[in-house]
Amino acid sequence: MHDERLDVEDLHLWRGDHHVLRGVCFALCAGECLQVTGPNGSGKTSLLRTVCGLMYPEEGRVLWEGRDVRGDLRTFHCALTYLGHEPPLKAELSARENLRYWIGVRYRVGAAALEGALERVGASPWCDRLVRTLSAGQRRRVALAGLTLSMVPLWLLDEPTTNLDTEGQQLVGSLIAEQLARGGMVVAAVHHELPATVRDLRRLELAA
Amino acid sequence: MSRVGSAAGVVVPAGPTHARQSQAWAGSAQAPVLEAARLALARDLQLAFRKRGQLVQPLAFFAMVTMLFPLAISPELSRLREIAPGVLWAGALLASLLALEFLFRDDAYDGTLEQYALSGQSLTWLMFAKTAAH
Repeated sequence: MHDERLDVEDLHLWRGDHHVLRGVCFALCAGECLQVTGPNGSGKTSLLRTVCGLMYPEEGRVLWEGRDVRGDLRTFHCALTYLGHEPPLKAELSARENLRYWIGVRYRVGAAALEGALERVGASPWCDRLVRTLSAGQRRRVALAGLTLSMVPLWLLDEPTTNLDTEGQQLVGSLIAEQLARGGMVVAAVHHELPATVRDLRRLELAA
Repeated sequence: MSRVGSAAGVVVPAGPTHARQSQAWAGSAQAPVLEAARLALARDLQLAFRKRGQLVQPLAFFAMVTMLFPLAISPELSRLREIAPGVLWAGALLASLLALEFLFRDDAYDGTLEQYALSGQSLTWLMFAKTAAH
């Protein structure tokens, strides 16, 4: 089984005495996008973090290409990118430096690719300013630039459109659409519908 | 190291979609671990020099401890010579304790540690780089 495929089977997660995930199941094949919705505190972030292995579920399994990811977390991590709702940026570094260090730890990225990514998200004019001086939307755009450099099959996105203007939300839509077009998969936890450019959208609603 | 690339490259029946996929994923070769560790080290050093306060505070503390000791004990040279190594080491230890707080806290808050954990790189090397920068 060489095709990328993500299966989540019957996940149960407890945080203290709160039963956050109650038997979450889904399967995702190449070229599919899953949109996870639900009220605040319904476990969207917990679901993403559990899938990528930052949290361990009490019950249930996550399968990547048909194999339990806990057997080989490293292979799984090499195949995914997780973008939390806070972009992992340092306030004391410029947008460009942040991107170089953050992405460089994972991939070999040339300077040209870096510039291209910054250009793509419209960050070129201000990419040498310290992140401390950037707005929340601009920070989000830097995070998206990191995403465009992540050529991995699986993207796990937590609130990718927060703080973005209309044009930025369209950008997220087209980034996701491109990822799907090259046979990738996306799991996105959102409050608002993803832009209509994303086709093959599947939905998962978490209850409060 | 390029696990993603090679995993996709194994695809035997090279249909049109498969060819496209393997090409897409091969574009992101995993960086070698030493290169990653070097970047993590460079990043932490650069950050330390941007945040002057955090860099200067332990050093100032160290200087103060060593200066206050002769004032507090006695200005007698032979006595000072005896205790000097101990004072220096204890002062350095306390000063590094001051900086210890910043070692992981910021990275834990802003999700950098998570990104390290998910990077598919050896955490041992990345953490070694971080502590070396410290």
